[in-house]
Amino acid sequence: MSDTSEISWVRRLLTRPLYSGRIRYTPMRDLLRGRIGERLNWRARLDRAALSAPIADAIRRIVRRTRLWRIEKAEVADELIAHFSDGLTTGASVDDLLRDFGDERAAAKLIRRAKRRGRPLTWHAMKWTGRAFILLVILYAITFVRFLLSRPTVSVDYVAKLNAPILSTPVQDRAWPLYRQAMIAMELDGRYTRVGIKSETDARAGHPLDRFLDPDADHNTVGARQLIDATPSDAAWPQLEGWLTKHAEGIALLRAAADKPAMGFVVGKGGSQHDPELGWTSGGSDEYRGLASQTLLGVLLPHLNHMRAMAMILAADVRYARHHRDGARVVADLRAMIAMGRHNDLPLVVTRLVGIGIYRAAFDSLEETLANDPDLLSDRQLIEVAHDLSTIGGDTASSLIDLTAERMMFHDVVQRAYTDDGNGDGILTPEGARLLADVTAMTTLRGSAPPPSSETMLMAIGSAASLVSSRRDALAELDGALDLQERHYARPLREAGDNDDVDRLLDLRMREIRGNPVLLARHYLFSMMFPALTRAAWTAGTALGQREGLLVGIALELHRRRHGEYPATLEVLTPTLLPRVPADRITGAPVRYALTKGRPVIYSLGVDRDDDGGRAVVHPRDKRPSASFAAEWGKPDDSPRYDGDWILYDGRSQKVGH
Amino acid sequence: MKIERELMRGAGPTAVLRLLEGGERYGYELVTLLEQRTKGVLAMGQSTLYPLLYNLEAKGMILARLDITADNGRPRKYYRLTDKGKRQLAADREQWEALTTAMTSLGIVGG
Repeated sequence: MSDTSEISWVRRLLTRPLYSGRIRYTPMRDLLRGRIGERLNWRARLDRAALSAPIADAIRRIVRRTRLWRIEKAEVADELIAHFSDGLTTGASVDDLLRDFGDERAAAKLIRRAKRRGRPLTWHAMKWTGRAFILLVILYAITFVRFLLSRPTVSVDYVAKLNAPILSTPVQDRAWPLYRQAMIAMELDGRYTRVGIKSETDARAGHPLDRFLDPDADHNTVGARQLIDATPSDAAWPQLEGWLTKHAEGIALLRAAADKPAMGFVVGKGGSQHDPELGWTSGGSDEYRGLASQTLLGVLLPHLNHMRAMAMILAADVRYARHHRDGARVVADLRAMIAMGRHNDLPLVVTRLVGIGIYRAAFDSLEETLANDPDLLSDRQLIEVAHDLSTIGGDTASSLIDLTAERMMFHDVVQRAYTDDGNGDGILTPEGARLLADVTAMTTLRGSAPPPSSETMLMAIGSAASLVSSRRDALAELDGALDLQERHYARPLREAGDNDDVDRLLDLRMREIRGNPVLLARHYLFSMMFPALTRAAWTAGTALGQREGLLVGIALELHRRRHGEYPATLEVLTPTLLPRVPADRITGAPVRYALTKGRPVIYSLGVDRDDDGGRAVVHPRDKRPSASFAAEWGKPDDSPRYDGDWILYDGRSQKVGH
Repeated sequence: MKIERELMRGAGPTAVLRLLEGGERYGYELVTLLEQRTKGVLAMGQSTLYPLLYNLEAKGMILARLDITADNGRPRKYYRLTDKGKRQLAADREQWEALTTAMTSLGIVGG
């Protein structure tokens, strides 16, 4: 038989009315076994039962109302057919049978309930799973709608709060106006700012000190940084001298600014960050930062790099003054640098770190002066500088590092992202999701995967609204982490243990969050906003150590002048020239003192706790002596790379880089 | 006498299990026996019997068998007690005995 004739035979067979009807009334399990019957055709059996019309109709109604599966209906119908047939056989009347049977609707309902109970376990499991799914969908829909309808309540103006002490300073006492005049007078490039560089054009704006380059030269062979660091023995020294001479007025303005009691840099839009004359316009940044520009997080501090650059200019001027034997100018510059460091007093980590950097520049300049020109400064001048030094910080890192503005930033973002239920709690809002997207864009490194758009973030947050931390939990997490840092800063580092412990804990926590999508959804705000505070305590601790070393160095110099030689021990200096011998910040014992080739060195034993007689560690990277490489807290480490001491003051003429 | 629904809810299944203890029976037969042996007291509506039977079947206390050779020529479903049903009947019997004793001691049942 050919293929076409086989197909037509099968087609004829399947389309035969009787055959197609029987298949229709055969349960699937029977069909799969090849058993074709009419088990499901209970209507035909009802017809064949020849029951009276009222009974047959009642059976049809009851079976239909059960709304059961076809096979269950067939079973129920068969049972009812048998029941009424048996009843009629016993001689009962149709009316009696129907009356005794009871209410049809109730019967159908009870039969349906009972039959469904008897269904397979898998059916019940699927039923409950389906209900659970529907419940989840409803809960999700409610959560999502609640999320979409929520709005934040901004109750605190944190920018105003941060500006309050600044604005309370009389205008004539504010240093910033003079600093900006100094920048203009010295022709510093105001366009340079680390924050907000998004294009090569911005990057080409260059370093604030690019103006050092002589535009008239045939070619510039000396970079700005080399120029500013030039010493009298360098080839670039005459060029530096020329620049400093040309901009003496600007440098004088710088000293005048440093003499003011307060910085007076007004933060926020409309404040000092908007300065078209310096090339600081916030429009582009606002677009870049989106909603974040409305928060404290969006505050720009474009002056910080310039403060650092101006401190470098003063350091160069110290070398110039020293070269020309002008002690008064040296002291004026040193005191101005110390004041500049103090002017970076906004309670924000980045500002304080810039301030510490400026202090370190002053410390290095002073140390060079004492080492290379010990007789240049008079006793009175040394005492003036010592007095300024002693006002810098205190015993712990908390005297230099302040996290108040960081905390205010968090609270500001939270109040703009979350609702407020009046009890300190609330949920994330759509505006909050957009704000998080903008914060993400701000904190994402260039070259990394592009940050999610606001719409993507909105949908992601909305779909996981129940996963995201509540307002209370978000604040508790952020505040808790900051509290941990502040407690760490408030203790002497040798008591706090390994000064990386807190940093490491927080770093581990960040990795844990970022490595888990559920945790990331929940702790997104924390993961995006918590600042990188790694080594902030170390930076403060080493600066304070160097300051203490310098105070001892000054005392030693004064003693040498009075007695013709350096003392045998540091205790001799107390209490006249030194209130007390400072403690080694790593061991807690008094700092060490040694005379090398007749010149003093003050040092800490360093992390190896081994007295190397004031020998600095050779830095593993640049192979040069490093004064502070051995400054590590925690367990002693006598590995070769830490073989040496932490130099706090080096009175020897050879300069050691800090 | 019509028994209250709540009482019937407890008595009905036990009564049916007891009737099946004597051997397998079909639906109408059970209806008739309940009427006759209890003098109509436990005569539940026939619309209630079949759901009750389906519930007992779902709980595994009774098992159904379709007999296609019934004496009236039509297929008929017979029900019989399972081991689980027997255990349940024994437990119900104990409870009813305890209840009857308690009611008797209160003077509610008996003389």
